[in-house]
Amino acid sequence: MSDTAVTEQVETKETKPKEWEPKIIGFLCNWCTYAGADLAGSSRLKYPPNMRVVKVPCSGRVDPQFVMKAFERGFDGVLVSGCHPGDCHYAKGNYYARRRIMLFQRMLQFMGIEPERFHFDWISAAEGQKFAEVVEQFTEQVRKLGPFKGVTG
Amino acid sequence: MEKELRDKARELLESGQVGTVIGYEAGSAPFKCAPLYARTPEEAERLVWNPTCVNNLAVYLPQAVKQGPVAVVVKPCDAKSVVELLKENQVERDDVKTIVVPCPGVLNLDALADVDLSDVRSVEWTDDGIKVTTGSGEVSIPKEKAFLPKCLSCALGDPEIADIKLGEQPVRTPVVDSKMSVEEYEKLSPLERREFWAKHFAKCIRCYACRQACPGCYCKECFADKLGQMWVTRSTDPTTNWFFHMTRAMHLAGRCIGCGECERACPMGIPLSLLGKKLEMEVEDMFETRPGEDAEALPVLGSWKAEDPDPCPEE
Repeated sequence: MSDTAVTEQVETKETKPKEWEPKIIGFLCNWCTYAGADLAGSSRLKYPPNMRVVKVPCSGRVDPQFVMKAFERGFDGVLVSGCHPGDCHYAKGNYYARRRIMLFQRMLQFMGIEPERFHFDWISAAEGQKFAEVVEQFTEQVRKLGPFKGVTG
Repeated sequence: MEKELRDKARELLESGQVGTVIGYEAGSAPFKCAPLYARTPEEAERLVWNPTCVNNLAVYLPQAVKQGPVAVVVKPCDAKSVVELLKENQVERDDVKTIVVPCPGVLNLDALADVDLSDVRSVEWTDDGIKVTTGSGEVSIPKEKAFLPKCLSCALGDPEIADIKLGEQPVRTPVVDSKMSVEEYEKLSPLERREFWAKHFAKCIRCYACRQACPGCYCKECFADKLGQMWVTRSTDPTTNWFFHMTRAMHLAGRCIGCGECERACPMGIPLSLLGKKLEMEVEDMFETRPGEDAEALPVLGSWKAEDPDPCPEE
């Protein structure tokens, strides 16, 4: 192995601490939003890579405790998205989600979590473009807020 | 009033309509009462009704009705808990008889801060509050100081669910707006709010007294005790405590009727009823419904309407 083959690698490793990047988690419903995300990918749409995805069968499966766990673990932003009302694969799961998540959203704000750190939306399987836009817009929104300092900090 | 209560309880037990009358009896001190399960006419003689009768006895119903029909002494606020238990099928309508007592307001123990507790003989209602009889005389305390905050904002009349009414409810003039504490709190910035709860949740010892006192917390396995999915560890650090209280609040969303027993039970002075009150206000604002009023209504988070508030309203 030549000297340069080794020193090239040494020189390209990160030596400066990375600037903070928002860590976002998205709870996406399998039938609509996840498919929309997939479409964004197949269409080669560009959007920030900051969001980690958790696929759920339906937005109705999203327990507020999942969102709390995410904030507890230090995620800077949380997204929940599912099928549009009336289009739920399971007929009514998103209706339950709508009541539960919107009420929970108000509770988060009440507890002092900046409301901009949580986003709840409807994104269908055909809305690849919307998915990319929502992730772009939400990532920038969270970036402006800075790192999440903890639920009681 | 106590005579009518005891007579009625004896009648219910002797006729076999119920096997148990759940009410209040004298407590370990004259400024406290204790819950009583009266199963015989003799035990029913111990029933009392006075300003110390603070407890929400509905908390005992889900377990008690397993032995058969039960009568329970309720104030108008407690009756709302019974409505919620009926709504959620924890109690069958035929298994519970509510004995509604006329309630001017119940004792806030803080009002006795200047009284020698070892000298108290009795606590009784007066026209505008309570009088405490001690070995050295009587002390009158006006209602603003004597009663619990929830009593000062009470506008409740007779509950619809009353099976037995032992008298008319007094005409009420709320002196405090029950939304006040939420409005005061909401003047805080997000950071101040987080610090507010950090300070309070640092005190929480996770004794679960709030959960045990709450008539809405009847789950056989509470999320806090699950081990397979461990939502909260045994640790009492502020963040884990936050998770517990936030989750409990969400589990009571649309179901909490504001009896305040959680806050009264808390040994550390955490303002838990603030969480319940906020959720009650939001549920009414978003879904135009209030808990504790209609036993036939659908549970709030167990139902939905096409016209519910939507995150993308222009659709």
